[in-house]
Amino acid sequence: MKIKEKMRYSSFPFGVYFLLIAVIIAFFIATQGTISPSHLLNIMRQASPLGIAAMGQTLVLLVGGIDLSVGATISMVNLVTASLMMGKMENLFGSVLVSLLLCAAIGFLNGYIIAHFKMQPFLVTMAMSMIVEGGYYIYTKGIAKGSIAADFRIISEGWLGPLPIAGLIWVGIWAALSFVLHRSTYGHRLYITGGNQAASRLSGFRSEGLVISAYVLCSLLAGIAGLMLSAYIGTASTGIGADYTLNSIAATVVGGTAFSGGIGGLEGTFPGVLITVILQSMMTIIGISEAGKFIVQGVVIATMVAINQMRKKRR
Amino acid sequence: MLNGSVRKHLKKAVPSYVILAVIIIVVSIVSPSFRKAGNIRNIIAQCAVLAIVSIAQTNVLLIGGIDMSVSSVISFGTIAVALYSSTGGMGLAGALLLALAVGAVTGLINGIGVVRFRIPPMIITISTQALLKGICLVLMPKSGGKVNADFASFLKARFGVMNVSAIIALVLYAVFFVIYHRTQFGRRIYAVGNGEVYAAQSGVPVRRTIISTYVISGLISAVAGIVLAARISTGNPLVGDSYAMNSVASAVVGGVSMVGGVGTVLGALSGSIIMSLINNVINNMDISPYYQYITRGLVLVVSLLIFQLRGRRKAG
Repeated sequence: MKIKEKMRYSSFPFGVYFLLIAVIIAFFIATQGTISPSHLLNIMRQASPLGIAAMGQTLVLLVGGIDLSVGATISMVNLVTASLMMGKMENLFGSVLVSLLLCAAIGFLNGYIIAHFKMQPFLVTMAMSMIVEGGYYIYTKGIAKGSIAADFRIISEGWLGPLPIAGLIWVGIWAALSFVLHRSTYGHRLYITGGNQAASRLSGFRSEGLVISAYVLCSLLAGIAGLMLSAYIGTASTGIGADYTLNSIAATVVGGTAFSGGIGGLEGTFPGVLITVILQSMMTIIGISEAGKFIVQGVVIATMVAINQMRKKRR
Repeated sequence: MLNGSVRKHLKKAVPSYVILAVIIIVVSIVSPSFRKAGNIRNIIAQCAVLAIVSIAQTNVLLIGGIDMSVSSVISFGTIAVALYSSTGGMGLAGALLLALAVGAVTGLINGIGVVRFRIPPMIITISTQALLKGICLVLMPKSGGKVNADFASFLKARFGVMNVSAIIALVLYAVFFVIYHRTQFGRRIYAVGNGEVYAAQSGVPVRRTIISTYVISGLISAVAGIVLAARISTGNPLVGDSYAMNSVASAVVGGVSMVGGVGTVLGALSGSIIMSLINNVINNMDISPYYQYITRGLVLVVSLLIFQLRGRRKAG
């Protein structure tokens, strides 16, 4: 009884973790138990780029915004990094630095325009997405060139003992960001700003700077996701990030982060991403291809958000 | 003839018509191939689909919502027509009904999700978008099928520079202009968009109004899908994808606010023409086609800035 009470009033998203466990059990049953833990770790490895991009999206949703330029940013990082790296490890530092600086610039512009001119995040980031997409089309003239250095591909392909390096990077960033969100003044202010911008201004925070920082972090995380995705596929390919915008939003809201800002957090986004990805690979194994993925995704998002909304109302 | 509130909403559409006029005048002077009747006919034919979807999107934006599922409804429309229309008149009628029914049901699910389960409009419409996209891919994994040839040539039949699809779009704009600015339902939409609580206190059936707008959005998107099917002559499960974002952009460029309650459907018309025109202009001016994305983005930014500055001047 006491545990039940505690769970009901805690902000920790238990529901999503129960769903994650249910999905894993369903996965075992659907594959008649032929799935080993190493399969799950492999799924986690493939899910890492989405996991990292979704954490960025979560930060932006927490300050009451939305970032539709995540997908275009990921595609851009892939094309820029591959074309500068040209498969050589000695170009690593320069290409990664240029890519991440571009990401920071995109995030800063998004955040500055949204916070300073009080413009709709949806529209600003949508325009930014078109501009970034246009930018990389002009840069590549429609032909994706370049490749990723073989040694760098370790960040997505490599294993440290039984654990995938990509998964470790994901969990590492998660731990660092969670610590910042829950244990630092910056994190608390981020939540308060998302919950009520006016109140946060009256409390004397520079809410404008907080909002900008969230967008910069989001674009940088999208950049890291882009690097990992590039390391995963190994070459330049136009438009590889396209699905990541809506998928990152979907994983975030499945994890219980509210659209209105200030509610939710990274601890829900992690299982949110895993649920999305495990269901997709389950569909592939059962033999329901592409179509099944979309159907399942639609149903999962709608039901999870509906449940979250009902829980909120009951409280 | 036009009362104050209609004039206020129409004023929001003025900048987009100015931008449109400037683009047309400048490009006509610079590029002789742009002025040719054949090209103008082309542009008008290209505009029809986006113009129709933009009505659907405007309708939902006016109540402060958004509809991302228009893309899948459009794709489904092309698939329904391509799969069933070539067998004759009965098949065609069935295909059109099926497309419209699926549009309406999608809208109904969106509307119920928003008012009954309080799911944010963006999320519930992303869900139905994914769900319906899956169904489209089951029915037709790759583009294919065949659109009834008579039906396609009817929608492409020309009257001067206009074709039937464009005329359908214009008629829909006229109908919705009257609905929004002359009927009780239209006043209710603006009332809900300006604040659900106040609207409810003044006796507006808020929930019913919201659900109706989503159903209308689904129906109009289905019409856009049917018109698109005639243009491309096949069904395609992904052909509608770009229309979700582009219809939002068109409406916003046309002065429709995303917060709800401000703007007019006539603005969406000029907005959608600007958005479709960019492609054609870039081809006719011999600029690399890769500049079209960036130009669309910049046009969106410029119009956002115009509205922001105008709004600020009024406030200050």
